[in-house]
Amino acid sequence: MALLRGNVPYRDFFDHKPPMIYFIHCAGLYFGSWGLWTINTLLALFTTWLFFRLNKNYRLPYPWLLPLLFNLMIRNPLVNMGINLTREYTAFFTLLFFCVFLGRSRYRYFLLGFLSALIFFTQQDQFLPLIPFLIYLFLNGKIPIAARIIQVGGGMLTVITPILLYFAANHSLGYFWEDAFQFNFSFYTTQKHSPDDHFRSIKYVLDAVNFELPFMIALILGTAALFMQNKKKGLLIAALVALIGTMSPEFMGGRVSKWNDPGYFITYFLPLSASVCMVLFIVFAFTEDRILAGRKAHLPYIFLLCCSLGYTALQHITHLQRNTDDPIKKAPELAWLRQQAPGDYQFYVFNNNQYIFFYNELKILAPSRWIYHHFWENYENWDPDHKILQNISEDLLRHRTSFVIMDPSTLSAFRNPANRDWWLSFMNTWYEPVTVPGSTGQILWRLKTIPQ
Amino acid sequence: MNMNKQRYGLLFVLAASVLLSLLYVPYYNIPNGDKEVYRCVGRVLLRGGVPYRDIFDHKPPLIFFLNYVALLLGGDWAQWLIDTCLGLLATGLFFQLGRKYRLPFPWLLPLLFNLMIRDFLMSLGMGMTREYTTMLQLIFFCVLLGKHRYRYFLLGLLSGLIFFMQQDQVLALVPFFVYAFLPDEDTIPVFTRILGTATGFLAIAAPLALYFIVHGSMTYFWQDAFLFNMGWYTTTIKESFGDHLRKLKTTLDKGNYEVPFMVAVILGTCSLFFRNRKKGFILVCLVAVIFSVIPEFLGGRDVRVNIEGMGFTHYFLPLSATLCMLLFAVFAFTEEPVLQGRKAQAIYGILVCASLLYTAIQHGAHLIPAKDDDAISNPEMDFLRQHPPADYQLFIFGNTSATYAYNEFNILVPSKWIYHHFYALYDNWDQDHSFLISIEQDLLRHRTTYVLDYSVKHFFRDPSAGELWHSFLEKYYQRVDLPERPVLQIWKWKGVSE
Repeated sequence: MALLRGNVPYRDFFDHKPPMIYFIHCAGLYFGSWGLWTINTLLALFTTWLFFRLNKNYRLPYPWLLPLLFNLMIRNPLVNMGINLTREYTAFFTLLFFCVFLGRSRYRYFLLGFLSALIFFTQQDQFLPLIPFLIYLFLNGKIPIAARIIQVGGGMLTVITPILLYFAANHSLGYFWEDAFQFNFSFYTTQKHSPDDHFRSIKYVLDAVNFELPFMIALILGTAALFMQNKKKGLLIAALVALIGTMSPEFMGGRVSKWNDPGYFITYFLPLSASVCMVLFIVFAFTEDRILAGRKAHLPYIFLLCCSLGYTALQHITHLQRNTDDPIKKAPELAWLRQQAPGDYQFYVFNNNQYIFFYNELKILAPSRWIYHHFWENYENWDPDHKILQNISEDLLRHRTSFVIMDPSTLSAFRNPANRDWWLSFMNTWYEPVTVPGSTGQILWRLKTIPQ
Repeated sequence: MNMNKQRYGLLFVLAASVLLSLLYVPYYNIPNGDKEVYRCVGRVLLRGGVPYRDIFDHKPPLIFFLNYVALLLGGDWAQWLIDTCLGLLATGLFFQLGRKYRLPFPWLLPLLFNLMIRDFLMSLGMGMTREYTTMLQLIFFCVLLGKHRYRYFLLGLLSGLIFFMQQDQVLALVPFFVYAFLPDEDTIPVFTRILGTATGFLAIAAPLALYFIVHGSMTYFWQDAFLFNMGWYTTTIKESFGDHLRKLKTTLDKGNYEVPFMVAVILGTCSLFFRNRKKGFILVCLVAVIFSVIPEFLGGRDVRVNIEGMGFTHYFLPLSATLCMLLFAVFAFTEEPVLQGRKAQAIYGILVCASLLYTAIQHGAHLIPAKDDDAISNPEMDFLRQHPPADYQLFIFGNTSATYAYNEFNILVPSKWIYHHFYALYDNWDQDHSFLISIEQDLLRHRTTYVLDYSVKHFFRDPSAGELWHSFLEKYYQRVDLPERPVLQIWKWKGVSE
């Protein structure tokens, strides 16, 4: 929305994701309320169709099996948190990359570079699973290696150049670099867990989201195929490395979740939808072993791979909940704010990501570039001199922002008590709580200078 | 060389069985209300009492006799030894069967069996009835596919053992009996087969019936171990088929049984359409798998779809045997190259064992001593340890797990009603309060010193029963305050001085 109104990512609002996801959402909003869903669905359809065609070209006995598995995995409600998260798009792009990789397009290398860059600028870490394929690509090929590298580079530049030009033209290149790259290395990936914890975490998530069987089958068949007759063992190794690579965010730390409560971070495992299918494709397409080739060999795997996920999808369909039933959508504060109809910059959400939804619902811009605040809870050394908080407060006063959502009880989670005290004192000086009819807690604040 | 390999295979799987059993040595075998009750009934037997007449439980009698033998031989370690030896016997026989049928990895399915039956997410430790019936079922399967001259007698004997250990588990044997009695399945006449089986069954049933007749307890036995289960335990709380299915899925997921279950059922079903020498037998094994989870569909438990913290996971323990039987039938009789041979079976073998092996390793690496369990380490137990009660001098109301105390102090219970959750489960349980009155009379008769009352406010579905019980306590007992346990009430007999 900010982009549609002429704002520039990173400069006018902070997020540490690469920019493609904002451009996708911008395009979705441009096409209306169903725009984003349409883009997402078309992308899923396109990916499914290409993958099906690939399966058919390689004469798999059930060419629909792996595309079906991909869709069951990526639309698994236990892991995807609905649609439109970055890793969902990178999963589509990764599978498209794979289809191009094994396809015969004359622009193959260019497209591979193009898709790699799309993935990198949608979710950086998801570029990692592509590396083994790119290495394989540079080691094996009919055209000279220099030509391959140039074409891949050309494809990458097709995405990189306009992005860089856009940020350069809008004087935002520094912010882009700091927020989308430096931040992730200096903060987001610095919290460490033991390897044992990561292992337990992976096992727990795979169990909890019904990915256990597809993951185990892909890993076991992939590993077993290395010791059996297979035409493309090198590619199989690349796919197995990619399988592990898609889970790399789990090993990069930065999350405050415990292994038995991954919470939001369960979506980190969504890219397995693509990598599991890629491993299975290579196992089935290039095997020369009779126990893995043919209809009868594949028949049990149809059920093993799809039964549990099919059951989950069926349960989800038969127990669908309307998003209007979401407690945040039904919050009395939202109804009250609708009556007040605040304009751009007149409403701010502090330290509660769920209520960020209000900006979109009210179609207004946030007064500060700092639209979410959980870093104050995650990192002890985040904003040690209150500079960011000060910046937020200045923005609120500059815009004379009328309303702020802030639940004071959530501030107890701030790692640095000085930050919490500073912010509370600011709020108490300039804002006063509003009693909203029907609300159980007092979380809405109003600028004091506005008459009752 | 091949012989040596086979021997190593046997040694490997026996060692695995012992190793997995070691995870449940008494020091680490978590207490559980059911197991504590079995042990209490075993003690009643040891002291000359009779199950059902002198102490109530709705289980068949063999589990009590097994606990009696364990107590006779020394207690916890003796039971561990019985358990481990039975596990080893089932494992050894199953290995021999795999070898006889020329499976490429005869140790694979016995290993799976051990990993499943010792899966701590399901088993609730050692000593549950379904653990024993599961082992007996696997022995039954080995006898069924063996060529022993007393085959039918042994099948009958094992069915008797299973039936009198946990009645519903005999259902899983029914399809095998139907198969065994098919005219073409054996050269022995059908009538002789039935006679042999019946004789084996009677070898168990007759002594048991005689025991209860001699002790004037036959009616109690019939009422408690049979009528009760059909009248109460399987008829009250009903859930929809969807609920059962969701619970089944959740339990399999959380207990790490999902992969073996899916692999076995899917391969079994596919085998019906593949080339297989014994499709009828595959069908029998598939039906046995379904029948082995039948307790889930018999109702009677107050469990919800979300099984977090529920205590009924052991109802699915018999899958350890039936899934292995199904996989055995698939692998042993297949004529399909995609299921035959070392490579095919190695892949499926790793698939079914990997997750369970991981669970076992995690469990082994994070063992928690049983003494740290809430039932053993708590303020009321500390209090009782300072004031150790004698026979009949302690009564625990409303908490089956707390019956552990009777076993720690090696004492008899003053009333035959050792557990009371039926008051919380059924609206019309003990409508005339005759059971409650009998408890009260027993407490007065024995002048029982301490009563631990866990029946919090809404424990009783029938409020009048709650009123009767609490007014009785107020009248004859005085409260002992235990600051760490504000809800629990320790009551002390008023006539006894401090």
